[in-house]
Formats: sequence, C-alpha cells, structure tokens
Amino acid sequence: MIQSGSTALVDRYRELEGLKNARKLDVVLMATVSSFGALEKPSDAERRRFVELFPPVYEASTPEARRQAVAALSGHPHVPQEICRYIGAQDIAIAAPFLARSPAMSDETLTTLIETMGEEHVRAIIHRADLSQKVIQALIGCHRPQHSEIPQGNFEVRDGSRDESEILRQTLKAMAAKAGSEAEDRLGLSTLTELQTALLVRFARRGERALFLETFARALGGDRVLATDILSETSGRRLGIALIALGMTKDDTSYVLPRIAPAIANEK
Amino acid sequence: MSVEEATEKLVQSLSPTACIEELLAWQSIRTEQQAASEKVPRDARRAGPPER
Repeated sequence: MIQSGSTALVDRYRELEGLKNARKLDVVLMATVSSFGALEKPSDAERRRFVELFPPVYEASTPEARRQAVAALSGHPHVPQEICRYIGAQDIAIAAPFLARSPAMSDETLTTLIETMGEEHVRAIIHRADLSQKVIQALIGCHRPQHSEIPQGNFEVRDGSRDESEILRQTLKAMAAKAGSEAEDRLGLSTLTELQTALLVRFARRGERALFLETFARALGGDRVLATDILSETSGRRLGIALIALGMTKDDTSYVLPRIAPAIANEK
Repeated sequence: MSVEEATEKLVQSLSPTACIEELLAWQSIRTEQQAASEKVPRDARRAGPPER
C-alpha cells in the first residue's frame, strides 16, 4: 500500500516536474520570440541563430505558447523565410494569423505554401491584403480536389494549364465520363471549390474584375469566351444564374453581383 | 429600386435547378460554336490550295 502510494506520489511529482519543464520551455519560446522581435534590423548571424533555435523550442512548447509565439511573430517584418515556411506549414489553428498577416513572407514562400499545403492554409492566405500578381496567379491556378482524387463534374481543369483547347478536351472528356450519371441533381455540373468561392468574393470586394474573370473562367472549365460573355451582360442576371448554377450560396451571390455588375439596379 | 433590393430580388428569383439547366445550355451552345469554328479550317485544309 505504502509502496503503491509512494509510487503514485513519485508519478505525480514527475508529472508536475514535466509540467514545470514544459512551462520553462514556454518561457524560453516567448523569450526567443520577443528578443528576436526587439531587433529592428537583425543581422545575418542573428537571423541564423533564430532559424536554429526557434523550431526545437517551438516543438517542445505547449500549444498555447506556440499560438502566442506565432501571433507575436505575425507582425514582425524580418522573420527569416525558413521560419515563415516552418510556421506556415503548422496546424491551421496556429498558422492562420501568420499566413493572413505576416509582412515577412516572400512571394516564393507564399507560392510554395499554396502549392504544398491544404485548402485551409490557402484560404488563410487569400485573406492577405497585399497579394502580388504572382501569388494571385498561384492561387487562381491552384486546384484542390475537395472530396476525392477523382475529377468532379465536367468542369475539371488541369492545374495551371493555359492551353484552352486542352482544357476543352478535358472538359469534354469529363462530360463524356459523366454522361452515365446525368440523372444526378447537378446534371454532372461541378461545384465551385471553397477556394474558388473565396477568390471570387475577394476579387469582387476589391473590384478586381480581370482576376474575377480569370477565376470565373476556370470555374467554367477554362471557357474564357463564355465567361466574358456572361460578365459583359451588365444587368448581372447571367452572372447570377452562372454563380448559382456553380453552387455559390445566395448570400455570396448577393454580395458578388452588385460589385461586379453595378448596373443591376437598372434591371427591370 | 436600390442596388441591394434589385440584387435580392434577382437572387431570390433564381432556382438552382433552372440555373444549372441554363448554364449547361450555354455551354452546349459554346461547345457547338467551338466545334464549328474548328471544322471550318479543317475543311479548308482538305479542299487544298485555291486554284489560280
């Protein structure tokens, strides 16, 4: 009994000791971050030291400390790109504010993360206020299958391809493959991915019509002529039909329409 | 009518099924147009060079 009691006491002591150590490491992480954050223009040596020190201390810290550390680094303009990539690839619950705000992230780092990370990470990047053309093109070109690797519907677009005839061939091929299941309620039509929806809403909010057209055309299987045709109708009726057909919610459609087709009020 | 009212009225009048059918119809027309425009140069090539 006594032995079992003392073992339990030792276990409890070790547990508390472990907790104490974890807290110590949390303090080390915050100290590392705040001392780096205090440097106005870190030298190469200081940056190198931070690159070496940050990941192991981060790994050993508690989730709460990680969140605080990443939030603190989100406003720092000189975070080395290695650390930007490292943080950007962490769990979205921690990485989101960094992906959405960090002024330190280069276009290359953002593009790498867009190409390698999942949809949640990409959506966090879409919230950035300062996306360059290069990053926007990477966002528009990136394709994330939502539920499976099997191409969905007849609007499948191969990532990044700008060859219109190839896209049309792919579309027709997908249409033919879908012909057997035309009875489905969407008649073989694919739905906008969350990423495409987020991009369309972003471009509408910022009045970026050319980028809206490009994203919209891709959602239509790369048919730029049809997309241009739909957008050229100033009343917005055809655009509304196309967005609803592609599965955009009525709330998002109501947000997008007046921003892309301001003449909608003239519609009789 | 304000822009908001007009948008709301338009969006509420759109039925997803009807929209899907309409978009598919536009796509079919486009596919036919595309096929026709590809056919013309092919036929022209088959006809050979114009006679002098």
